[in-house]
Order: sequence, then structure tokens, then C-alpha cells
Amino acid sequence: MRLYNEGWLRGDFRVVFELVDAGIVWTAIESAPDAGTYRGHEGVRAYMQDWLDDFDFEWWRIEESTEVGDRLVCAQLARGTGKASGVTGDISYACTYSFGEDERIVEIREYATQTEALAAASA
Amino acid sequence: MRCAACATENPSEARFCMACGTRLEAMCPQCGAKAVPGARFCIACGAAIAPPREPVPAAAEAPDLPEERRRVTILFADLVGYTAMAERMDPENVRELSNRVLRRLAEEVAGHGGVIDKYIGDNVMALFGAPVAHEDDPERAVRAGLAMQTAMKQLDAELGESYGVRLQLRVGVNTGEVLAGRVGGSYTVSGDAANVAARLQSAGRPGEVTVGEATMRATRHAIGYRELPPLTLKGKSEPVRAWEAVEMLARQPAGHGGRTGAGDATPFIGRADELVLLDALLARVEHEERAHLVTVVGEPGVGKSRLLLEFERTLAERDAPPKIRHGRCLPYGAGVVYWALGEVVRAECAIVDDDPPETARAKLHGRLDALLAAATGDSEEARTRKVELVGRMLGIGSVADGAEDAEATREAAFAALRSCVQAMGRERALVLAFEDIHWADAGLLDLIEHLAQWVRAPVVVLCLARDQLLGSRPTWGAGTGAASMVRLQPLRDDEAQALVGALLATGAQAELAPAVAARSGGNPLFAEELVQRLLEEGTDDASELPETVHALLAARLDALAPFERRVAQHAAVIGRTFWRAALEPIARAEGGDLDGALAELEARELIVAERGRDDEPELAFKHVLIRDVAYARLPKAVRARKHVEVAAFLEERAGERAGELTPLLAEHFGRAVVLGEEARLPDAELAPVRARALVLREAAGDAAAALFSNAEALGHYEAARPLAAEPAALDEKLGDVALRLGRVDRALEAWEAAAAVVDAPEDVARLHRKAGGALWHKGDRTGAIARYQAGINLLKEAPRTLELVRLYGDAASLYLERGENMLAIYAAEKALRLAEQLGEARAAGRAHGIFGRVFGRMGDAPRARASLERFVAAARELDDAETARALHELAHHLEHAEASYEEAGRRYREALALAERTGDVPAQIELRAALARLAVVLGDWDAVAAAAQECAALAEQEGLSAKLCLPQALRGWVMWHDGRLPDAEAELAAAATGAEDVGWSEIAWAALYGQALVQRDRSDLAAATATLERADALCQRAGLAVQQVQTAAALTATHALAGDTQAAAATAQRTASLADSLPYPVARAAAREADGIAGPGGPGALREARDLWRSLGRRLDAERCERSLSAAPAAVAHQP
Repeated sequence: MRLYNEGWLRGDFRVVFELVDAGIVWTAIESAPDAGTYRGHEGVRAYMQDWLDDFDFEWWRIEESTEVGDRLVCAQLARGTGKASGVTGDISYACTYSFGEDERIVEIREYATQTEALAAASA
Repeated sequence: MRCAACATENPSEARFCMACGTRLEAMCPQCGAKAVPGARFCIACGAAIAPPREPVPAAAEAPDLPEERRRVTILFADLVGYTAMAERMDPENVRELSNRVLRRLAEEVAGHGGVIDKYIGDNVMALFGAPVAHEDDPERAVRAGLAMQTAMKQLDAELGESYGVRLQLRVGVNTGEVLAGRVGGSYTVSGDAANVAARLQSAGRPGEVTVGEATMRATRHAIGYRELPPLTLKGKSEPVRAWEAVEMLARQPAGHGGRTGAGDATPFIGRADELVLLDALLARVEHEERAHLVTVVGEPGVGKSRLLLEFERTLAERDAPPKIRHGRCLPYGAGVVYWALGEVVRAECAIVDDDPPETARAKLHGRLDALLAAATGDSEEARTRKVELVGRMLGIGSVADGAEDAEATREAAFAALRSCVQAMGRERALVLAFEDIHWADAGLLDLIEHLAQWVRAPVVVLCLARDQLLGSRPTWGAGTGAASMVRLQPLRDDEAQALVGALLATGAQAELAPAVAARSGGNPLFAEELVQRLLEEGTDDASELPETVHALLAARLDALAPFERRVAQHAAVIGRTFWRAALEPIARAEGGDLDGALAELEARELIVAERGRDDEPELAFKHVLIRDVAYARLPKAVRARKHVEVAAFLEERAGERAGELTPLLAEHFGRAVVLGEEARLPDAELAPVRARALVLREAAGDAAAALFSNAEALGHYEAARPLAAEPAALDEKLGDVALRLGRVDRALEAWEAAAAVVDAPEDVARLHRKAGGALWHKGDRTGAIARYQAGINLLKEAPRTLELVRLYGDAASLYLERGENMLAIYAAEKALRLAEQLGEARAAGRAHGIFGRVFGRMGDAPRARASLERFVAAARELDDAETARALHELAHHLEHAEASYEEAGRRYREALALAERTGDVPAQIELRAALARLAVVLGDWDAVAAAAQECAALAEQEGLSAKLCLPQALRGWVMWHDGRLPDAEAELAAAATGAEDVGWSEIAWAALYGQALVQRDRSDLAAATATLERADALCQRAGLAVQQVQTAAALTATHALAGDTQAAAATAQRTASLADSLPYPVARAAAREADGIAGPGGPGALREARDLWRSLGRRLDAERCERSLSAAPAAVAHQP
């Protein structure tokens, strides 16, 4: 997961896609402007590129991770600066990760809070 | 019995066919042979044949009148025992007897002013109110019924003696609207009211007069009644309420005499004070050189127009009389935008109706440019622009480009008009008289208020209005700063008597003055009309005079010759003002003498000549009620066709300038459609009218919307919608103006309807965005986000469009409102990047506004202010609405971050003035509340209470429930200040919940903070602590940095009061730590105060806090520190 986050931070899709299954299903945070479900490497690339286009990320880290069944629930925090605004801020959210047999990520679901993510993973 | 006309089998006792009404031929009851007409015995078997009815001739010869809708009272009377009598008596005797009875009954009808409509066997049908109306037809009918019963009793006694027979009478009376006119060569009426009268008669008891509800209500002052159990009447689905007339409560009215000529001009009585007041106002504006709005309000006929006329007369006697310009609003309602203003400008520029467009434009430019050149320092280019704007507003010159911003156009046009009126006033003192402004469109009302507020020249804006103006516009004139209202009350008894006495002085009925004055109720029009009628008819019985002016005017119309009345009715379709040429078709069709008819109408003072072209003066109904009564008389089908004719006439007359008349034509075609459908005109006839009405309604709506006359636009679109086969575009526009008016649900409904049928992604996305905005207004922020997301998802993969920019921009604003700063920045970054690529200044400006607010929350005041100033500067290049929005955001930053209350107040007030000018009610509520919050900080409690009331009234009036938390919070603060602690706590708690429900974090915080202070004052420290902790969590969630420091300071004080020194010290330290990263004055003062209460700072820190609060002008906070300083250390607490 550390490699995965570093990949995102650098915008290095090659690294990211090595860790992500080609059939990945990524459901973005429900309240985000671009909320929706993105599929496959290209879908994921488009989603993340939307963020990378407008923000320079300083760091992107996992604050806490918990295994719930076959899923990993992570509380995440990223610090970024808007390219046009110059506003620097933190965005905290949570994700549940599901892994395939080859240990690649096959599904990611984003949530506004860790509590929501844990509840969803436990359901 | 078989009808010879339609072959229907009728019951044996039938005398008329039940299917077609044809008289059935008599047959021998013995052998069935057809009876020879007039034969008393059967020629086949010699048996006696019941005599055919030979009715008493009808009192009303079928008059040569066209069909009319009339309010009529119908009386049915039926002889009980007649059939049995006919069986026993010789036919000759039967005929003689029935003639005697029916003649006697007819005499009673005629004696009460009714007419016999027809005899149906032993039934009598009589009419009161047709073909000639009286003011008290229902009363006459019931009195006639009672008199018929009395007569019948006498007749019964006589007939018993002479013939040994007994007869009784059943009478039914009912009042209602009917269609009156010729049917089969006879004048009669038809309609449900007549059917019900017949059924009431059938269901009534012999010897009684049974009446329906409308009749009872119209006559209960004069007739005593006994209510019957509801009657089940044939053909009526519901039981019908009915009454029996028991007695007459008032004396019997007497008959009428002949008519005399019309009365002289009415003397001016009882309005001297008002005249002096108007004169004084003129003197004042001349002295002050600024406009003043005076509105004369009163019921129809109370003398508003007369007061204006007398005012003009007094002005004319001056050495240097002021200029007077008139504008009249049309009774068609709000459809014709700025009509009255057009009259003023056209008169000033000497533009006449048949001027070709270029001549009209040249006159407009010539006169207005000269005025502006003399009174302003404007360049020629600036003057031309202003004149163009005025011309565009009035439809003289170029038509507004749909791409222009409606609000901006309206603002500029208002300013241009203001310059012109100011120039007129500077040239010579000016009286702008607007009549009947209760019919004015909202745009005109806005403009009048604008002129009153801003014109700096001696101008009296004199408006005449009925009370209904204040119903629809309760704040009329309130914001102008220079407004008066004169309410014309009915004349006092002595004044009314003096008026009537003067009017009757020339006649023989002068002694009737007290009675007539009392009947007039002090209404000069009523009095004048009552006297007019007395003089015309030469009657001396004031008691039979009308109950209402409507009935009175109906009677006056009936006094006209048929052709004159037809002319009046057709003129009424045109409006209160009309032209001779428009009436020529009716003269041609009926071969009447139009000039003679108009002269007669004028002689009878039903119409008057008005201003107009030299070759074709305008004519007008003397009073609009006369017009209304005349109009209502025409059958709907006739009205429908006539409206089309009038529209065609107006179009032809206007020629190339027909575009100016679009709203008026839309009204005529629209009415034609509605009336035509009600009258069930053939589809083939209605279809082209519908099509034309649709085009005109939509065009009129567009024109009104372009001028931000939203109520008028909405009216046109609503009227157009049922006419449209594909209403999606119309629905979208309808939703736009509905939202501007605060009618959020209507807007959503319209957009949903449009979205259901459009296909193009950009169209669907746009409707999603609009719906999102509406949901946001309603407080459904989750729903709003979902709509924005739906729109973004539709467009983000497509080529860049402005719609996507707007979606991101609106979403960014909403995220910021919810305290989701990073999502707001994300959306704003997207919007800015796309906007810059597409050159969209508005969205780019808003993005800077969002950046500014986020910087503010992060404590970076210089960058926050710079971004917000950039937003304001960009907005000023756009329009007033955007500027108001930007100023609001800047003021918010100045208030919360920089504590620059004076500057914040200035910016809020500027934004409020702009929001009022653009009619943005939601913004007005928020800005008033913001100013009130400043007043809380500065301790101006009267202002807070007043603002709370205003905000609540506006929010309730517009149904903006999401805004109600604002006045609720303000009320809570006022209650706290007044010491009403339980009420204050409840109110603030409700405000906090309401604000949190709609995600309005800053308002929720203010309410929670207040609630905690109240709880602490009530010594409920546990509750106060819990509330402050809730507020703290809210600040953290929503990024309310300054508020979080204040919350921590308050928590420190609460812990100290509770004796929890450890917690207090910890919180004081946290307060200091929060304030360290936030270099804002309020944060610093709060942190010093907390340090003084529970930290190491002690009294020195408290004194520092007190001085800081003082330097910010926050008196209450400074006093609180002072109290803390003078209290024992243990009691040092965060007391308000």
C-alpha cells in the first residue's frame, strides 16, 4: 500500500497499475463532484488524473489500517496545493480495498470517514 | 303523445314535447282523435277536450337584443289544482278563469319590475334583471312572489265563490348568471340558475315562496326567511339549500318614473386636507430638489382620480405651473410591462400612435437627448446609450438581445430612466401621475420606487391605487426614504349629504339627499351614480336604489339603446381606453350610427374623451367598473372572437411597431383562447388562435424576463404552457423565472418536466444544475450535490463546455457552504481552469471567491482579501447580482476574519441595496441577517429585533423555509438580551438544528454559541459544556477557525465557572494554541481572555483582552472582561 500511495503521489501510473488489477472497480467518494464508479486502468487513470491536474500533492499517507474480513480498511490523509489557487489543505477520507489472488487490488471504495468505511466493510 | 316535430313519445299529460319543447297538439281524451285547433269538443266522439292554454300576453315583448350574459333572478309559479279543475269545468270557463289568474299574477310581476318570460301551461316563468336590470332584482323577485301568493289567496276566495274551485300557487325563485337572448324568436334566458328556479318551485309547498341560496343572500336584509331541509332536486347531484320567504322586513319599493338627462359635474367635497397635503409635498420637493412618492389609496369610486384632477386644477392656477405627465396602468393585469411609463415618455417626446418607427425613434432621441444634455454632463455617446435603453424598455427601437444579462439590462434601463426623469424635473418641477397602479406590473412598481428613491430633482411621483396594491406589495414605498401614503376614506355623512345635496339641487328630489347619501356609504362615485339615476328616471324613491355599484352600473347600461349598449360592450373588450376606429366593425355589422352612439355614451357620462392623437382622440370608460360590467355581459364566445378582432385591429394599426404591443396582443389572444375553450368554439376556429397566442405569450414572457419583470414573465409562461405541444423550452424558462421569484417547488416541477423530454446531454446537465440550485435553496444540500454530480458526469468526458464550468462552480460554492474545503477547492480549481480556457469571467470570478473564503478559514487574511477583492472586481464588470454576491463574501471575511465591522457593514449594505434592486429575496434575507449579526456584536438590539422580524416576514412570504433559521437565531439573541432565558434557549436550539439540517455551518455555530451562553446564564453548566463541545466539533468539521477559538475560550470560562480548574487550564492552553495559528484579532482577544480566566496570564491578560475587544468596538465582550476583572478569581468566567 505504501508503494501504491507513493505511485499516486508522483503521478506514476506505471507503478500504480502494477499494484492494481486490470479489471479494478473504483467507487469514488459519494459526495465528491466526480462521484461515480470507474472501471479498469483507464477509468482509474482518468479519475486520478482529474485530481493530479489541479493539485500538487505534498504527501499522501495511510493514517490507520484495519483488516475486516478479506478487506483492508484504511484511513487516509493527503496534503495538496491547488495549482491555480495556491491553497494548501488536507483531505481526509477512508477506503476499503479488496485484493485478488495475485494480491493486486481489485476493488476500491472511498468513504468520507473511517467509521463509514468500517461500517461498510463489516456489513 | 307523439311530438310532430321530433317524434318523441311524451306522457299523456304533456303539453309540450319533453325533448324539443314543441307545443303538442291536443287530442281527445276519450277517443284519441286529433283535436281541431280551438275546438272545445271532439269532432269524432263529442267528448270534452281540455282547452289549449291561452296565456295572458307576456309582459316582455321579445326585444331585439343580442345574446348577453346576465345576472338574473328567475321566478317560477305553478297553479296547484289546475288540472283537476280543468277536468271538471267547461273549457270556456277554464279559459276565462285561467286568464284571470294569470293576468293577476302577471300584474304582480310587472308591478315589481319583472317581465313574464313565458307561460308553460299553468306555469309562469318571470325574469327580474333581463332584459333590463335593476339594482335590487332578487328582492323584487321575492317581493313579487309574496305578492303573487297574496293575490292568489284573494283569487282563491273569489274563485271558490264563483266557480266552486280551489287553486293554490307554488313559487320558486333563484338568482344566477344566465345567457339571455333570442331563442326561436323569443327573448328568454337559459342556464342552470333557471333550471334550479323551476325545480325549487316543483319542490316547494303550495302557498309558499321557495328561494335558493343566492337569492336569500341578496335579500336577507329585506326579507325574513325560514331555512328548509336541503332539497333533492331533479338533475342536481347534491341536495340544494333552500329557504321559504316568511315576511318582508322593509317597506315595498315603489315603481320608477321616466328618465331625465345626466347630472352636472360633481362638486369637489371633503378632500380639502388631502389637496393641501399634495400641495405641501410639491413645495417640499421644490425645496429639497429630490423626488417624493405619494400614493393615494382607496376603494373604487372613493375619489382618487377626482383628487388628482383637482390637484391638477390648482397647479394650473399657479404662475409657473409644474409639468404633469400621466401614466395609466391597464386592467389586463400584469401582462403589459411598463405600459404606464410608456405613456409618460411618449407624451414627453410627443410620440403619437401612428408615428412610423423611425419617426418615433427620432422624437425619442431628440427630446430625451436634449433633456440629458441640459441636465447632465454625459457625453453624447453616454446620452445616446441611455436613450437607447429607455427606448428598448418601452419597445421603441431595438429589441433586447436575448444574450444580454436581464438583470444588468434592467439596472441600466432604470438608471437611464432616472436620468431622464431627473432632467425633466430639473427643467421644470414635475408631477408624474400613475393611475391604477394596483394593476401595474412588478417591474413598473420597482421602477417607480427606484425613481422616488434616486431622482434628485423636484418631482412628485403621485400614484393612485386600490387597497389591493398593499395586499400584493405590503412594503410599497418603504425603502425609498421619501414616501407618503394618503388613504382616502369614504366621505363623512355630512360631506356625503352635501355632495348629494349639491348634485340634486337642480332636481325636484333635493329632499332625498339624506337617504341617497346614506345609501352611497360615503363613496362619491356611488353617490354620483345614484343621483344620476334618480335624475334620469325622475323617481323620488331612494329605497330602491342599488346595493352595489355593480348593479347600479348594470342598470345604467340597460338604460342604453341596444346599439349603444353593444358599442359599450365591444369597447369594453378593448379595455378601459379605446378608439373609435376599433368599433367600426360593429357599426358596419349592425348598421348603427357609431358617432351618435358614442355621443350618447358620453352624454350619459359612461365614457369620456381622453388624451390621444389629434385626429383620433382616445375614449375611455368613465370608471373601470362600467367597463367591467359591460364586458361581463358579452357571451364568452362573442368575447373570444372579439378579442381576436381587437388584436387584429391593434396589429394593423401599429404596423411595423406591432412588436411594442406584444404583451397586449398576447393578452387579447390568450383571453380569446380561454374564453373560446370555455364557450366550446370549434377546434378549427380555435387552433390558429391558440398558435398565435402561444407565440405571443412566449414572446411577451421573454420580453418581461429580459427586463427582470419576473412575475409578469411567469404569468405569460404559465399561460403559454397549456398551448404548447412541446413545452420543454417553455418549462425551462418558466422554472428560471419561478426560481427568481423564490417559487422553488414550481421551478423544480417545471425543470423536471423539461428534463423528462430533452435528449442532448448539455441540456439535461443544465437542467440538473438548475434543479441543484433549487434544491440548495430548499436546504436539500445532499440532493443538490447529487444533481451537480449527475450534470458533471454527463459532460466531463465531452468537449469542454460552459455548462461544465457552471456545474463545477456551483458545486464548489455548495461544498464551501458545507465546510468541505478541499472538495470546494477541487471543484473551484476545475471551474477556474475550464473557465479560463473558455473565457468565462463569471465562473472564474467565483472561483477566486471560493479561494478567498478558504484562505480566510486557514488564517491567511492577506491572500483571502486579495482573492475576494478580485472576485468583487470581476463581478463589477458583470452585473449587480454578481456584485452583490461578491460583496457579501468579502464582507463576511471582513466581519469574521479581520473584525473590520465598519467596513463589513458598508459592504453588506451595498450588497443589500443591489439585492433589493435586482429583487433577489434570498440574498436580501441573508444580508439583513448579516447586518443584524453585526448589530449583535456592536450591541444595537433594536436593530437586531427589527431585522429578525423583516427576515422572518420575507422568508415566510417567499416560502424560503431554509432561511428561517436566520431570524430564529436573531430572535434568540434578542430574547437572551431581554433576559427571557428559557425562550432564548429554545429559539437558539431550534435555529441551530434548522441550520445544521441544511448544512449551514456558520449559522449553526452562531446559534450553538448563543445557546451555550444562555445555558451558562441559567447556571446549567453541564448543558453549556455539551453545547460548546458540539459547537467545537462543528467548527472542526466545517473549518470555522475563528469561531473555534471563540468556542474554546467560552469553554474555558464554563469549566472555570464549574470549578474544574484543570479542564479550564487545559482549554485555555488549547485556545492559545488555536489562536497562534490564526492571526485574527477576534481569535487573539478570545485567547487572551481565556488565558486571563484560567491560564497563566491572569488579570494582565484579561485587561489585554478587554482592550482588544474595545479596540474592535465589541462593547459586550469588553464589558464581560471588565466584569471578570472585578470578580473574585474563582468566579472569573466567560460571562456575557
